[in-house]
Amino acid sequence: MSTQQHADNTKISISIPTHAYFISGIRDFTMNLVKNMTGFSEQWAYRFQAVIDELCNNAIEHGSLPGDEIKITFLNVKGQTLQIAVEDLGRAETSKNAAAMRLYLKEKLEEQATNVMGSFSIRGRGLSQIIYNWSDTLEFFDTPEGGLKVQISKSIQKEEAKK
Amino acid sequence: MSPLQILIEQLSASSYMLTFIGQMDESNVDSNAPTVYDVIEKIPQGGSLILNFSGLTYMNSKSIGYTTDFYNKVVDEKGGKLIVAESPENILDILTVVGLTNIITFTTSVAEAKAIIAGEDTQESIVEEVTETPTEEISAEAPQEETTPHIEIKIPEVLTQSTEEKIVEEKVEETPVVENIPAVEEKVIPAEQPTPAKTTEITLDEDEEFPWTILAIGGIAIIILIVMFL
Repeated sequence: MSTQQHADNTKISISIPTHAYFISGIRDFTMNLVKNMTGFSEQWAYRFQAVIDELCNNAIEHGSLPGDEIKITFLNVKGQTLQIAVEDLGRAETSKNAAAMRLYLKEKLEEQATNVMGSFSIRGRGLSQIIYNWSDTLEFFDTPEGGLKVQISKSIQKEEAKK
Repeated sequence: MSPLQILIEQLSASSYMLTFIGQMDESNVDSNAPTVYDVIEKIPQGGSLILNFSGLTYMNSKSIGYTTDFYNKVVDEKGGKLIVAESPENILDILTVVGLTNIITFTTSVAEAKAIIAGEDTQESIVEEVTETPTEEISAEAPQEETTPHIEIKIPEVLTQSTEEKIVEEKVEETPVVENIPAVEEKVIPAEQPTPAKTTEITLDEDEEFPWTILAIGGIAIIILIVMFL
């Protein structure tokens, strides 16, 4: 884990093995970070827990092989924004590049718009419903290593701030 | 692996409650889902399942997916009812964002969820009793005639209030909570039936027992006293 701090800006990077076992620790870390350092409310601490969990699971399941690592980066501008990025190595058979992910998200959002009652399938809610709805921006980047970097950001609005 | 415990409780011959304690996430949901499917397998057609989330601290998107599948199996395939009870705020928040609160019935307490299920069961049995027997005769004997042996719901509490007023009360309380509850209440016998009978009885008694004899004797005695006085 590495940390850089400049005035009210904090950047923390963590690499974890691609195993679901480690994600509960990342969720706990996210909860503490959001509650203690960002200025977001407790409700948003829980929401970021869910967002980071979904980002990590996607990176492990769709972008990694056993034994790989994924990299999680938090960039916090205290009282203003929180940015979270998760990178994989893109080595899984089901890996998609950034352009394919943008198209996938667009299709999922269109599907949801026409199916108001929601999908009854077990998978497919993480990106298009949880991550998308609980972030201001959602971007996909191809990494130099051939992987995918998914990045979200959220600005603190008045009603979302810690009271 | 994140800790997760699922407690199974059979509420009646046709209903179960599963209490989730811990976190439901990628590390454990696949291995725990069969426990729930096994219980659903035991639920008969038209039966009910309560998912008690009071001890749940986290659930991810796959767990939500499984929850919709549980709903599908109980409600769509078995024609039953699935109720999620006592979800903590953060769990309710995530279930709301994925749209599940538009589909599944949620209650703030387990008691409320049980009442919804019991309401269906007991109201059906009450209707059977009421249609065959005068209201005054529905008393402590009625619960003993209950046919489902495992019911934990306190049927006597419902029936010990003597008239249909209790049934009507239940109808009023439950209507806002249960959107999909079948209109069993409509079968309830009209409350006015026994009341006129009582009124009529009182009228008859007054007619029969009016003390004409005493009045006559009294009158005669007064006349004798007046004559004697004069």
